[in-house]
Amino acid sequence: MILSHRWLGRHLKEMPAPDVVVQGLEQLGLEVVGQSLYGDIFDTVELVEVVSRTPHPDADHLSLVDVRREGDKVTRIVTGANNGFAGERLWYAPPGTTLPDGRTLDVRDLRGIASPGMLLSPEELGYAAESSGDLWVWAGDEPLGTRFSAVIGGIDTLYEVELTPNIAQYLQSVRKVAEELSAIWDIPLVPVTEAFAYQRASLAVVEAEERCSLYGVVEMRIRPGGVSPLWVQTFLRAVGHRIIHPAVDVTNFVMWDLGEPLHAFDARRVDAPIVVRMARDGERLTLLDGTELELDGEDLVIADQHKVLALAGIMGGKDSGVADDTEEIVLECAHFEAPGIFKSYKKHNLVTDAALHFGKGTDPLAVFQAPVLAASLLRDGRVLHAVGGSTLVGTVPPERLVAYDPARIRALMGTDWDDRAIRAALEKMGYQLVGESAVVPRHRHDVESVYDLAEDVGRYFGLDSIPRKLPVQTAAMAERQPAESLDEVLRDAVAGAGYQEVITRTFTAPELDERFETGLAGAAVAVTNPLREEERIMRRHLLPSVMEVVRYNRSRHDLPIRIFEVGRVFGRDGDQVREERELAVVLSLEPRAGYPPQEEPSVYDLTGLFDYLCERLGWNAERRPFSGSAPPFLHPGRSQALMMDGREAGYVGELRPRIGDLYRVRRLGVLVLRYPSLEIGAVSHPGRPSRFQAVDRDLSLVIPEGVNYQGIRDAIRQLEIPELRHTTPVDRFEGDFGTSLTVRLTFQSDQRTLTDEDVEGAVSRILAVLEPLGVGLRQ
Amino acid sequence: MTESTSLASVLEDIARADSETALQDLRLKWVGKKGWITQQMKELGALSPEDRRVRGAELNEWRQAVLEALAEKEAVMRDEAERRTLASESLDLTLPGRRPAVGLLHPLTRMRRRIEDVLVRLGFSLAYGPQIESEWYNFEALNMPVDHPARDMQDSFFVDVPGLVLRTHTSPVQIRAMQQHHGRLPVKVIAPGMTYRRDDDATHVPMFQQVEGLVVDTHISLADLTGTLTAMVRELLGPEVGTRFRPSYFPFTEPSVEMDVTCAVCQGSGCRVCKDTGWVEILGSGIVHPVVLKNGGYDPERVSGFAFGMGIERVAMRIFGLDDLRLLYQNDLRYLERFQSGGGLDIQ
Ligand SMILES: [Zn+2]
Repeated sequence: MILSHRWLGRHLKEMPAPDVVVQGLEQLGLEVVGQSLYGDIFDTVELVEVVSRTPHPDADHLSLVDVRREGDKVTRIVTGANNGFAGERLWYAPPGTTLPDGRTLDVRDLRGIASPGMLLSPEELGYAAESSGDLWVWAGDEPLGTRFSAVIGGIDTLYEVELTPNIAQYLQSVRKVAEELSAIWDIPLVPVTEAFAYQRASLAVVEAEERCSLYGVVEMRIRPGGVSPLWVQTFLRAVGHRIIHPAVDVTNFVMWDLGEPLHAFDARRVDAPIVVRMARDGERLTLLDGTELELDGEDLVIADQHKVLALAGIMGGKDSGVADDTEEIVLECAHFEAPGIFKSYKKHNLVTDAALHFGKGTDPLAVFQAPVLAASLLRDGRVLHAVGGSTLVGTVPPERLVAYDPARIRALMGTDWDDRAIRAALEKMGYQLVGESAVVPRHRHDVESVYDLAEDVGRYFGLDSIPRKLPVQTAAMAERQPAESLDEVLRDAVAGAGYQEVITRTFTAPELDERFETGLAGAAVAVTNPLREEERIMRRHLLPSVMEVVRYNRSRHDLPIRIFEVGRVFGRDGDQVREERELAVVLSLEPRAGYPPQEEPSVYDLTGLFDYLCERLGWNAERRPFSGSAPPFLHPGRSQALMMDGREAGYVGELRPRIGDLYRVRRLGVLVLRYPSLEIGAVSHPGRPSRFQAVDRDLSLVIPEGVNYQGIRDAIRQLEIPELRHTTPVDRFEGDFGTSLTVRLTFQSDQRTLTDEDVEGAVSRILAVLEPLGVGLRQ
Repeated sequence: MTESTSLASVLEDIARADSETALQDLRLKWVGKKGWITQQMKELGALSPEDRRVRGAELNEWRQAVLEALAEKEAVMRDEAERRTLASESLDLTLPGRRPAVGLLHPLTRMRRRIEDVLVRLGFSLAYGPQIESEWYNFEALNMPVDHPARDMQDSFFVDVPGLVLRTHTSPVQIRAMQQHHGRLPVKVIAPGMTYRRDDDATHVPMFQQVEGLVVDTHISLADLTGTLTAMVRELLGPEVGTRFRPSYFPFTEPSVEMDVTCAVCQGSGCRVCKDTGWVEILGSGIVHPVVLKNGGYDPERVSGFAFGMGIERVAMRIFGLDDLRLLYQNDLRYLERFQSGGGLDIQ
């Protein structure tokens, strides 16, 4: 909403400076998001008098007009206008002036004659005037040189105010804002006009009473061809309205001034009486803007005996609006129930100023003020001939009460305001206090309980008056959630291992998601109103999102990729949605030129990372061959399934190079693990290191095809030799005899120094258990 | 000494030795098992006691002198050898070092943890809720019934599961946390998490992170809210930051207040970033609406509470001095690497 400083001033006996106004508005909860001026561009537009008018020597349609300016200076301007004769007073914009339409004037050459600036029409100034030619012939007696900004009352300050939904329920009106400012500033208000005395003419019937508690109509005879008073036009222009027709201008003015949208029908188009009723399903209405609407039984309409005239509280019909030749209007002043209007304008997507007022809530008492104001504005513009018949149907909704409990207000606000101060504040804010109740002002649809009263007292005193303290409470340990803490430890562990964390959007495209299908994820949850094509579903795996990071980076630069994400993935079983935790790590497996040389990343970095994470987090997990074949996007010879608690939970390995190619990296290692929401299971029990010497024994084994390290390690472990502390591969190579693998066995006892016999005995048992595998010592 | 060779010349031979071999030869020649001095000592037994004493002392003295000279020479030669080896091993340490492979946490993770840390120190426990949330928790329970005008404030993403929505804020966790407390007091939780709204520009992304806070107890007031949030913001942004509260509106708080902090760009004097106000909004908050307390299973006549919600990105933008939020979610590795340094304030 745009608030005009001068318009506010119409309601307040004094008006403080703009910075004080901004403070006041913000104290009330109206956030001022912008401030600008109105009328400053009219500061150079000056009143001049035509000295002479002669035809342009070289153009039939142009005239040379000499005007006298302030200080008897004469300027010659070329004009195409059909008026502006000697003795007439006109508005002149010298070069440099910027007009409301954005044009900045200059000296122009018009058929060989220089013309500095322009003589102006009312339209060029954004106004409407009763003038019989193109140029605005000014009837006032201001001295020459008077600026246009002066005749419209001076330059105005405009406040662009953001209305929160609650404020929109009661402060969409200059008067209401002024009332609250008057309360907090203690500046008296200009009194409102007396209430309009509706007559008892039978001009309207309300059938849908539950949707319209008050419906008033007032007939007014007007003079065609009139315009709104200059000051009314100025206020409307300032807050962004176009000047249309005095009857329409008046409805706009009253809407912003009192918060009461009015509607003016052309009396010729209304077959009285007016009926306020629900629309019939399928009934049609062509709106003022030409759109045709199909109505249903939920829409409240204003109709006459034959047709629908308007969608109540939202927009009038095309056929019943005022026209230039309108001589009598039927002015509607109503109070509609807000929720009905809100639903209707939402349904038809008709966001009009009237809808934004009625749909949020208006003051029923404004129905009595609005006709008086409207008539006085029309009278002021010499447009009104006479006020005719009028009717008011319905009753003013009863006042509401809420509990008034000053102690509770103090407790909620944490202040020491005494009862008298609280009472005074509420009364200033428009409440009447009766015993233990507060009578809520009729326009305050937002007020429901003592909480709202507390807020209003806070707004009255300003939030700066609230002390700032820490709560006094029983002390309690703050707790973290174990499952989330695990996520954090996991992030630290992977980052500590040299991977950069990324955070990707959880939306993805089904095509990308399916590329990394493993059967672990449920069906996708689709976003029904995505912003982008590629964000149609909630991701079922992390890898597609992380791979998009690879693509993004590789299409821009050639950095090595070492990234990970710990995040949520989504799936569904019917209408049951699951959110699960996943880790995805991606590593580019490429040698990197550089000195000093770096170790070449390999898929062993990822298998090792997995083993480390299991140890660090106490996971009961292991790497195993895939039970069936590896997923198609993985390298079958360089990938493994990851098992957690005996169930397949992910994979580690190399992507198939042709998949990597899609992301501009030939070889990529990936690790994906869907892990349960568990506490960290690992607790270190370090024990005391043995005092006795450890003994290493290296066995160079020849292993046949089909036997892998895990087979050897598992066979050795089966022996459960207590003194065998570590088994570590130390060398591997291929010779004409096959594959040789050297395994270092480390023996140690906590009780004694091991003898050669002890070690040799263990080694023979180990060799014996390996023999059936076809594994023997290399000769 | 052979009678014709003096001790001095032996010692000089040792000093002149130019190789380990030469030195070894001299050792054998004079003090080895078959060396001249050793031999002479073996022959002492043949002498008279008086001669043996004199000759023995003499030989001992000679032996001692030779051994010392040998040791001294050996040390010199060892030093020399080492010097040569070391010289041959020198490296060009002006070459770039091999940096440890250390990954970084995403700046928003670091920022989230920093906020959590401050609030946990203030006694808040952590609470969580689902990202795909029921409309009841996301709207109705928070005093936003269907057709409530405030639903317009948050443009939601809907999903193809009836009754569910991508949560538009972390506020549903207020209800969940209260329900999990089963009426126990105090409730004092923060809920960090992903949230979603249909916005996409330099200062809004469709997926973003919030931290929600909720305190419910007897006698909780707006003063507790302003005090707690002021303490938190000073801890996050520094003690010198200016703070103010403005009335605002959220359906689930009443009264609602927004908190502003002094603009980091102009320090409060007014600039383009803060639209010449000197202030920028940092969070929304308020006294928990009685309807929300009821929906959480608490009696609004008996207890009261305050709640707040803060965008993590907004805090990150301020602390890191960013003007475009979208960069944080683009995951450009060159950009993320830049958060390497300056690891003081933002890392906890
Ligand atoms: Zn600034």
